[in-house]
Amino acid sequence: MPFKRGIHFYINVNNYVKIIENEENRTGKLTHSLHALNTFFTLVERFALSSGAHIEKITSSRIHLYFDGEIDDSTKALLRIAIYSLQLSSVINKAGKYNILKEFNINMGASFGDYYYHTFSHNSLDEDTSFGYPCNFAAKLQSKARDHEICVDKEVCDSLRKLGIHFSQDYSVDFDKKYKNGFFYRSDLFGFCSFSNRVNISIENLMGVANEYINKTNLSEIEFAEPKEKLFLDNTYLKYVYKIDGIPLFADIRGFSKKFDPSGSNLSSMAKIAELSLKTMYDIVLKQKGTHIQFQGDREFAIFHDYGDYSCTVNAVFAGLRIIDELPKISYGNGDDKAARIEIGVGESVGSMFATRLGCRGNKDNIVIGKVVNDADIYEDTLAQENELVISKDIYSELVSANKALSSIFSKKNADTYSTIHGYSYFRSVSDQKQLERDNLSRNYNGAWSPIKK
Amino acid sequence: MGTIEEATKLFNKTLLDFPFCQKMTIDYKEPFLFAFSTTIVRKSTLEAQGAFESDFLNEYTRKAIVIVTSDFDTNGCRVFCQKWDNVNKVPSKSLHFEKEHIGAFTKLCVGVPGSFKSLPNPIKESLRTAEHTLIAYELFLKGINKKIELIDYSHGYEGEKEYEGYKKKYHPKR
Repeated sequence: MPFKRGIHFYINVNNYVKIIENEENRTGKLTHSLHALNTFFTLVERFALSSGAHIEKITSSRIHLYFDGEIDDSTKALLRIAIYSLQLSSVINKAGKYNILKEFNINMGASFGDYYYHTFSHNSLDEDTSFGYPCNFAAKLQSKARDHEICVDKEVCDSLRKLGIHFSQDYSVDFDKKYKNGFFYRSDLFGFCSFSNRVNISIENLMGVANEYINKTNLSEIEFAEPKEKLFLDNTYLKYVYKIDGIPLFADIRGFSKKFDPSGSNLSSMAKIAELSLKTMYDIVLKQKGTHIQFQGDREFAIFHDYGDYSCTVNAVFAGLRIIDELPKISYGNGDDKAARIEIGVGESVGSMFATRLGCRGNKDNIVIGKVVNDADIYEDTLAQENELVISKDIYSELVSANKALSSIFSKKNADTYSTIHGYSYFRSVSDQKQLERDNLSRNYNGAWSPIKK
Repeated sequence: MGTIEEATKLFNKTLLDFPFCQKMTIDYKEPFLFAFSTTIVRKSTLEAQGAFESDFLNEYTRKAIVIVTSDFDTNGCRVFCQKWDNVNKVPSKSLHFEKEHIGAFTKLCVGVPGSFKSLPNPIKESLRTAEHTLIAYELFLKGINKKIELIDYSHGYEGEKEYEGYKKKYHPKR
């Protein structure tokens, strides 16, 4: 697992859920919004690659980029990509092809530090993912940024200030608690555009390239289908979009990045733990008839969906229970030290989603979009405590009718959610206990005995 | 005395409820009709718990070898289970393992002599008793039940007398 240093940078279409909801309500499809998102990400990817950035992946409405190396070597490229992305969003907003859409409002986050790069190889899957403070913190900073804003940490701020960019300081109690650093820095992206000349971006060229791409794929060629069997996204691309009713699952290892020794002394053992943790979650998802979407750092993103007469609800919940059962069996240390065990939070919600693959790198990024995905993300990220599964009240309602014993291990967490800290083996015990009670009461099996008086 | 044809027919019916039964060859000290290996878990349990066979092959394994002798229709089958590391924590009055074993598998007594006589499928009932016994042990050893919650009888002759009193109340599933 290579140890690296650099900037992690997220660019997000902040109002994308509203954009798709609006188009779906108007047309019943997402043809324009997905086409526009593909245009945006494909062109940002191309530009970022030509500017020296690496692409980690596209996750829903967000692209994750990173730069290797010292900070001042990368911030000029970051500035170019930020300006390009803002101007591209403006071109997309003006494009006649997308005029039925609400405008793209983008926001960004960036953080500098040490991180670890990992390629997960298992069965036929090869997937890159990175762990570490800047990977997580940049994502959190992006989520703090308002429309047309970038939020950065102090290091990135100081470096961009050297280029003349203005930032205002802000403070987050949550950041202070989680990252022991509550201060962060905001800047208006429109202010970046006055630096276009210094970073060699020609608006005319950009518009030419963007318009050419926008007109390349015919909107009528995009087909929407409902899956008739378990979804495999491997062979799909923008022209095929699946409308899915189901459950997105997010499972995140708590505090994983903090376990890396900055000297790199535990890299080899951490690589093994990372591989084992991701493999365990991946295998559980497949075992319970789920579809792995992507790893987001140390986080698993999967979906479970209905097809034909099959309802995914119970399997999705079993997967969550198995994850909170199995992951804490993995230890950072030796022996039975409970403090050294992995802790995990899981979130699930239910509803409609759209799934496809986007991007310029061979359509390798699985994309699942919908409000329900954001809900599950929030349940995992902000509600689930250590080794806790949080589900939406709609999932709970389905459980009550589908599997009462399973619903009995959940309790109400807040107005919208239910949760449990009991894993799958506890559920099995509860289920066994109830069955045994019933059979004992009806005396419907032969009694055991032993011939020898002990 | 049960015949191999009757036993085979009942074994095939048992498979509908206990899906992991698989006939096997084995050396045994007495003549027998056939033997099979199994993981003792009902199909309905697998469905209700979204479980897989591997869920029953852990520290509380349900792996077993079953010998069907010609007296199976009266005394049930000889069920040999893998003894768990902590099973001796089960109070001795409820521990129905005998001394006889086949390799790592120890005989679990699934009923007093003659108790399978009136049962429609003694092969299935042998597995059902073993399953209930193992579940009761597991729930107790995990601390979920404070005592062994199980229909069972005292060891030895005393238990046979208890059975005579209880058998009128017994209603096997058909």
